[in-house]
Amino acid sequence: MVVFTDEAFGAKLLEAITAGLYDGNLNCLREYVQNSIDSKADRVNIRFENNQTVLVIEDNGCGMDRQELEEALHLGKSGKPDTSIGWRGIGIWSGIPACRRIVIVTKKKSHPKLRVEIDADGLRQQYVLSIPATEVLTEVTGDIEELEMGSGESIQDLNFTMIRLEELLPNQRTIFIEEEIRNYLSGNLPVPFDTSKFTMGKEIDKRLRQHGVETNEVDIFFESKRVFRPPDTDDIFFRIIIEKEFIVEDEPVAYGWLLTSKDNRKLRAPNRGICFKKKGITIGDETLVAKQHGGVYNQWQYGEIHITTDALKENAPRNNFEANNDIIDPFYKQVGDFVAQLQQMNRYQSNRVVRRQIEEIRKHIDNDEMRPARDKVTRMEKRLQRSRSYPKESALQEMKKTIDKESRGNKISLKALKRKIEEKPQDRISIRKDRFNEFAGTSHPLLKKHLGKTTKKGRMELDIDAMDPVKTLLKQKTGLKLDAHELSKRAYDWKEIVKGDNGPMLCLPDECPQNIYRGRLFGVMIQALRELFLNPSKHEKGRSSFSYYESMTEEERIDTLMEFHMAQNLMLRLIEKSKRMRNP
Amino acid sequence: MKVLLVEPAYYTRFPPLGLLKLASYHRSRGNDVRLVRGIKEDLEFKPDRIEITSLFTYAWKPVHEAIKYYHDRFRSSRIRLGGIYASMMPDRLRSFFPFIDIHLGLFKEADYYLPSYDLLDDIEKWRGWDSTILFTSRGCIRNCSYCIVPTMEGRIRSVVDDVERHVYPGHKRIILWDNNLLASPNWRRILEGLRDIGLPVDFNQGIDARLVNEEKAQMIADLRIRHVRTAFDTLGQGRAISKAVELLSGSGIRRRRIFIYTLYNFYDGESPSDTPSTFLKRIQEIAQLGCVSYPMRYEPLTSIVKNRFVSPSWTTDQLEMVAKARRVLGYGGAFPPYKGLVKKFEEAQDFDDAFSVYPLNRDKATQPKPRRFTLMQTPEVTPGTAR
Repeated sequence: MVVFTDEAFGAKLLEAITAGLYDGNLNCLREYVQNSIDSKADRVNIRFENNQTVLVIEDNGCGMDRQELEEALHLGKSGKPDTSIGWRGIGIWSGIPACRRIVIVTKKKSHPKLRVEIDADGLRQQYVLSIPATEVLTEVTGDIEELEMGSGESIQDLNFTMIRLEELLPNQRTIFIEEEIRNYLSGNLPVPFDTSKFTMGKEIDKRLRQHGVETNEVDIFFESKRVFRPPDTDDIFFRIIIEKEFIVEDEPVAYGWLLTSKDNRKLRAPNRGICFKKKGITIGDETLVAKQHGGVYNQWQYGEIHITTDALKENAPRNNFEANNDIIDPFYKQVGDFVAQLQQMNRYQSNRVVRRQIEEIRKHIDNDEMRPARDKVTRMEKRLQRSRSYPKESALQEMKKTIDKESRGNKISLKALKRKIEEKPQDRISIRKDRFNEFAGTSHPLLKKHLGKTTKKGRMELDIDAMDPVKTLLKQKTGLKLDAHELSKRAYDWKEIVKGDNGPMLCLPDECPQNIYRGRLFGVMIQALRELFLNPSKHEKGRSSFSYYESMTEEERIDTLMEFHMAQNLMLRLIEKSKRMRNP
Repeated sequence: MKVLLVEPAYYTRFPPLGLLKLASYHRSRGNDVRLVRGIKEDLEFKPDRIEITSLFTYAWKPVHEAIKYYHDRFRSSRIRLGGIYASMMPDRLRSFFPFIDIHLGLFKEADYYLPSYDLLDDIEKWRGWDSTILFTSRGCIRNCSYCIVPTMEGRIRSVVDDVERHVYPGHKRIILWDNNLLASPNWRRILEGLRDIGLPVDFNQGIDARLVNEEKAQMIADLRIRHVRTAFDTLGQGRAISKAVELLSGSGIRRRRIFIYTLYNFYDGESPSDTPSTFLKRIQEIAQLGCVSYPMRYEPLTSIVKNRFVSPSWTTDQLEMVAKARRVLGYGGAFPPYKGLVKKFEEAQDFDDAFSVYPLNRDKATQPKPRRFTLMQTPEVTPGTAR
């Protein structure tokens, strides 16, 4: 028989159950708050001290006497019943990786105020040594000392426990920051909803009670501000609570509630998706629920799945459940199936409900943007006609009715909007825009392609690469890779524009040279059009030579733009017809 | 329990480090702590305990005032005194205030706590304080009779070796209060740590010139350090000083950045080693080295009035001459190696010659007085203003 003595448990074991288990992160906060809840505290204050070098967790729980404090320091020997939240008896050591000292100050009614100090620094240094764990623990744990009471403190009535993580290590200061801690507390601990921001919280609380869910709610204050659990928003798409009971072998194991958010993007912390909760404490995070479904799940739902059975036990780091039981596999399968159906419901909803798009169409109409409005209406009508199957899950059936009802309403709204668009007299701008688009549709293929790109979003502006189609065509015809200016010169053989005899009698809005020969003239014309409208080096807003264009009204501008593109179109057709004279 | 920490309103350039550590010590016991400086009448806090610190013995008056005030105000609170004055003259304190507790020497239980610098924000004088004060060692290897450290702290020992972890978040400077850092067993680690942190460093208590070697000089030069302080207390240290200065300046520290404290008016009951002429000798040597000398007047450890003690080797007039020279010839109480000043000290025949300020003044007196106003500027004379 192998006999285990103290010597058999080396100090390296301590690393595994402190740093290893709790990962040196904020999880120690959960451990301490759990202890507070187990000691019947209804209020926990968490605060920083001395410029965030000390973190203090103080509760109004029953506190400990000397014997209980000694027992609390024992490892893996929790005196608590299994029904408590903390039952492994290692929580007190979870702050070891974060600080230089853990100090516990506690007082039980009618007992003296006690204090004990754990030298976290010393413990961490001894991880590496192969000395017995018991020896190390004895060495780093100070004596329990009795503290003097103040005149305002009553030995009979005062009870509390204060955990102090003193001198947080510099490398932990990026983790132990206010925002992170607040998010952690609200996401993981059994705090109530903020019903002023999330009005459905009351109803959810009621249903949780009806289903016998133990939420162990406790008031947690961090830096004197109360902590609430998510969601802290009322942006709910349908104010209908989806309820789902998970039953394994005829025994209820969990109860979940869900709400679909308005924001049809993946939900992010702190208002994140669906989490498992046990006794009010979050197990894992939202991904633990989502990943039970192998496929895609767009996280559109807020929700909690509360474990109601004792048979499902969380593991020590509380990032999953223990696998050593018969319930977990069927339960996870049910969760996975449910998530899959949720995803199906989300897709059904996104097909059937176009609430947001209707708003957008309304906006377009208000802004006299008839074309995009009309396009959208057509698109949405098509979308609403498509059929899609709905999940069979009974918990989701009520939702189907709501979605279908909304869908019907959407259809009616769309019809009304369509009528409104048709009734509205077309204004001059949209007439012009339509004309422009008509022209664009029949233009030279290169120009058509170009306009398809640049005016895609209804933007009617002279673009910096407006002459690109000409350039592209010239490139194709000549086989040269030059800039537009050089191309027109080489293609139509012109060299420079010579000064006349007496100076000009007329002047264009922008300076424009003139010349003679017919073939060359065309080349020069290409250059002239380019120079006039968009010499890239001069094409800047606010430049005087373009002021004639920029000072136009929108109607005139669309006209000019169309005329420019028409001229370009003519050129394109002429270039197309040009004969090849020689090779470069 | 509620604890009031009191820093009496004496003159000091540094916040009460001991009280700040004591504050952390009390907080670690769940106590509610408040820090005040001097008499604070609008204090809304009923302490169970009052802890008052003290500094130099001659700054006893503000300490007594604080005890009196807070005792009268909080009759039932226990008062405990600590600090240098309390440790040096407990009997004197007790004769005035028989009801107080007195803590002698260091309070070891609180020494390792990170000071609660956040409490300084409550005190006008210390608001915005941004320097970490640190003892990496306590005690000293020397036993100088004019120094309180051997009595208060004893033999040298290291108390901190990982400086980087003791820098308070947000602080921009490190001030070391080590009595003799270079004699500390882990000076190397400390200097390396300070270099790696990269914050400006000040060795407030100076370094022991006798212990400077090439490696240490180089490591000191690697720090962001503004002044290197050391001391030249007896003539016998002359060779050590010049060697230290050579090493430091060889490592790249400008000589003008080396401050050398020179003790004067010192007398310890034995044969006098410090006289006006040996003092001048030391000042001359420092001037020759091109460093700054900073005269320090000796004060007995239990002096009740500052600047009253006169060594048998000195006269009151001579002491007054040094004081005046520091004001008139020097800069900020020190004698920097200004060309004229170095020349004056070098050419001085004796003490009187070196420290008399009149010749310089007489030179000035012979020069024509600068005219106050040019013709273009009419002085604006407002009635009642003396010109």
